[in-house]
Amino acid sequence: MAHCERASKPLLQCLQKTYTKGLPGLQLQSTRAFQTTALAREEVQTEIKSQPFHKAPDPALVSSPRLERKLLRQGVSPIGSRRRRVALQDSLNIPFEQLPYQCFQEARKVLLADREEKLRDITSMREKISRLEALTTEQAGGEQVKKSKLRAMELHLEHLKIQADINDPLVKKKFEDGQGDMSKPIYRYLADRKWREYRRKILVQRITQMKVVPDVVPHCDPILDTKLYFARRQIQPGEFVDSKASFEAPKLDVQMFEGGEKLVTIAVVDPDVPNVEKDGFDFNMHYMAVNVPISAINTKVDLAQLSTESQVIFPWAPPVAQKGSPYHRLSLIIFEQRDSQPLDFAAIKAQETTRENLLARTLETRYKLKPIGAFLFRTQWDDSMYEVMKTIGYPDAEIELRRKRDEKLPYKRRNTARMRG
Amino acid sequence: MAVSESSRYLTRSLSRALVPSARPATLCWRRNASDQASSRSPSADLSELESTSISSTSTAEDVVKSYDPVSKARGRKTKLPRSRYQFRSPKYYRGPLHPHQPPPPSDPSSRLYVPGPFSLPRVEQTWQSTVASDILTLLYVHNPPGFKPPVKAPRLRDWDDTSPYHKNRNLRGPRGGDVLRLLRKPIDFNNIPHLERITIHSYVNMATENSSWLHAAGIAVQAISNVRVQTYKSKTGVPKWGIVPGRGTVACKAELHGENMLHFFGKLVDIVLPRIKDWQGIKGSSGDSSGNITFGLEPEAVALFPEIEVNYDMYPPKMIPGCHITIHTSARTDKDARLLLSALGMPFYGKIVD
Amino acid sequence: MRTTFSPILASLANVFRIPLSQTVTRPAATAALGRFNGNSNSNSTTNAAAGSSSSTRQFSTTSAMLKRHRGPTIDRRITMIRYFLHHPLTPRPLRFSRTRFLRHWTIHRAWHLYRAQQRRAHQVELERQWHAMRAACEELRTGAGDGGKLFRKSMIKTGVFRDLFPIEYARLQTEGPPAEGWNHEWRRR
Repeated sequence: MAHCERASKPLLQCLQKTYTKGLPGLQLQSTRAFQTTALAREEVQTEIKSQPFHKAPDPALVSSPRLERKLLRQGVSPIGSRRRRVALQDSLNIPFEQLPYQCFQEARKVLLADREEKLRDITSMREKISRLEALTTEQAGGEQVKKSKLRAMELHLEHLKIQADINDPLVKKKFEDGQGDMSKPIYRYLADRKWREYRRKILVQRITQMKVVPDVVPHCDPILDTKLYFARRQIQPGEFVDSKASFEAPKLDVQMFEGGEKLVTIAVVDPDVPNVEKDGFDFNMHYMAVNVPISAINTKVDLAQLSTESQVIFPWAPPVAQKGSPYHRLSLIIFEQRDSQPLDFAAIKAQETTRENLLARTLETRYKLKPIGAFLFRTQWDDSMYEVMKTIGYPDAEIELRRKRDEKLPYKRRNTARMRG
Repeated sequence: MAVSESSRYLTRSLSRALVPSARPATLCWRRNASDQASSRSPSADLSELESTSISSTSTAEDVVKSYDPVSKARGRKTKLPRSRYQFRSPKYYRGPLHPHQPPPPSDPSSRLYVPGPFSLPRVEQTWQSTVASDILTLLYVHNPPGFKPPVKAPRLRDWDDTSPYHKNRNLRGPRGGDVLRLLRKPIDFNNIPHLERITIHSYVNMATENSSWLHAAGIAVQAISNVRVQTYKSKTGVPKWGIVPGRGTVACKAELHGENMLHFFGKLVDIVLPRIKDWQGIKGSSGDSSGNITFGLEPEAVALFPEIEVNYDMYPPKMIPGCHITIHTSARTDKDARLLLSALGMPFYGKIVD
Repeated sequence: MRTTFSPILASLANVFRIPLSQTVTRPAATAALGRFNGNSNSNSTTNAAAGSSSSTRQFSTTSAMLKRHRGPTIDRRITMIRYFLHHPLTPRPLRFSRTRFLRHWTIHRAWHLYRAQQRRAHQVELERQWHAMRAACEELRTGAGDGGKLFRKSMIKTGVFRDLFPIEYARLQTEGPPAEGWNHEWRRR
């Protein structure tokens, strides 16, 4: 349970900082929410030993539909499938690692021996690193050499940490159940692998197919798993979003797969604002915020709730698409700030005054940013768009854009004599 | 009741708690997830590992004795209720972006899953224990310390710029022919030749008349190789047999890897080849000069395989095929491949041609 | 009496020409069986002749015309080879419960780890041999006191690729050859 407590510690600290009063029992309850089912079941069993089963059914063991319904009415959903619950009723409850299968036990011994070896490697590698750090630059053979050596050793250490845990079936089980603690390298590694297997491919396909990558930023290699929510509904990359839903600023769930913390800049750019005079398209910055901290365990970012004094350069402007205009690609780019150093908010606020035609490329070069995450949703004219435009005071709400008829080329008789066949 | 209420309570309080205050309050995060590894101790590293590992406590004796899931399942009066949805591997691969992705082939729920290995083939053991170190010793070439091999001329030559048309032309091929052969590196502990795969190929010229010839050949090859065969059409025509290129299916092929290959090789060397009458061995000029040796077996030799021999009656005797067997080794030249095969029990005869 | 057969069973019976029933059955069932048996059963022929002769005909393997013309007879072994070659039934994917899958996965990982360790050990052993050989050759070259003659002789490789390994060497290893070749006392019990 030690890891659960450690995982919830920062959470509790935050809670205590912001809400010191009014949450007397929160510490106890929140730690329990991280527990696994087995422990919860033990507690329940000790509590209700005096009562018969049908009076206080156990959600892990209940199997009859009537008792299940009773539990559901109380607001407790039964755990697992009914088959599992029936099977558990008369099981010996041997812990997984002690199951008496010979081959399995032999395999466990092999894995345990390997893990011991990896732990020894980790300790020795850490000692090596500290020895190298203790050396002066001249002894280590130059600034550059020392730096690259340290970097390589750190990478190897990270690799060893992953290798020590990757063969553990309980780690796999916890990760599959979504109980992985993201402050640990192994779960970050597994989550990254899972993300790259499918969701990242989809994201990259959408942002390249809809040309966000050459249009908005010249290059982007996403390393953050970004999820976007409008009014609690998750949006798939490239989906059309209803204008009423996108009136409020979205919430983000940005999962980082590296340790440590990063300061990022978040920008939402619309590269498809029609410009009738130019007969082309303009850019518009719908949202921009700097110095947003993210880390592997601190993933939630609510764009509406970031502080206006120190983070938000441009607050959320609802995306609009005039009637008859082609769909707008609202692309959200997450930039990493150089060395995770905070940018000067006041200076940026003073410099960036207009949303119109503020390019993401400009930001990139001006503030030395690097795109590490991207997302895309689309907007088009729909039923509620007119109201949204009225509410935000959009000037050309009534205008409907029409595609120009192509002028016909002057008719010319074909010279059939020149054509053969 | 209490559990659910607490969780609801928690989510509500969390949503409020996660609202950052005016300054970016990140102090409490920074302390726990820090990138600065310079001031780390080994104990900090070890604490980053998962602590609920497979513990080393062993199972109690009485538990082992009493644990009998099979009899428990048999003793159950009623069947367990049906399970919930379980993952099912898709029948066809529909590309990397389809939401229904097949699991890796090592997963038992995959359709490509093959259990095993169930044996330790003798060929593998022999190679590991004896052959590898013997070949290493035999082919050892000593270079004194500080020895540098003379630099050879590049195999692809430049054009002498006698003609203006030589500009931007591709490099000239090697001397004496257009084929760029594989380069042989001196054999050391990293590149001792070993078996990579075996291909059994059988061309049935009667298959144009009647498909039963090909079917019999396919099932015979399948029986001796334990691998599903592939069928092929002819690329070249043979007027004498009435074979037109691209028309009829005339050949079948099986590719053997891993355990299948090693067992097949063992059978070949131990059982089949010694029983062929007047068989001298593989011809010394065989090989494609990149380490792959081919030889042929007559139908009578194929019939000597134990899988065919045990139910010889089930094959029409005239339809048992002959076949070509190609042994692909990891050697880069034929002479190394021949050395390996002779160490594993394949005799060679005639003039050795490299 | 069994009246329904699974399609697999029926097709197998058809291939091996096993009559599915020896007793007189109801007409409908017999007609169905007659299709499987290809009129080999005398009961079914009589029944089919009495009842719907045309429907039985088109399903039977030997029609009247073929019988009259004496067409090419297919070897029964070929039929069976074709049957087994094109049999569509392959093993289904396995379904494991959660803990059983995890146990399987543990064993799988441990096996691969073990194999990797073995490979690594073999590689290290070969490397050690090579380095030992190198040290020995260097000693022979410089320290033998014969001006390197022995060393030069040992480096001649001409016979290696010409003579190859002797065939007596090339014997796949067994647990060890038995002291006497045949156990004459062995009897089936």
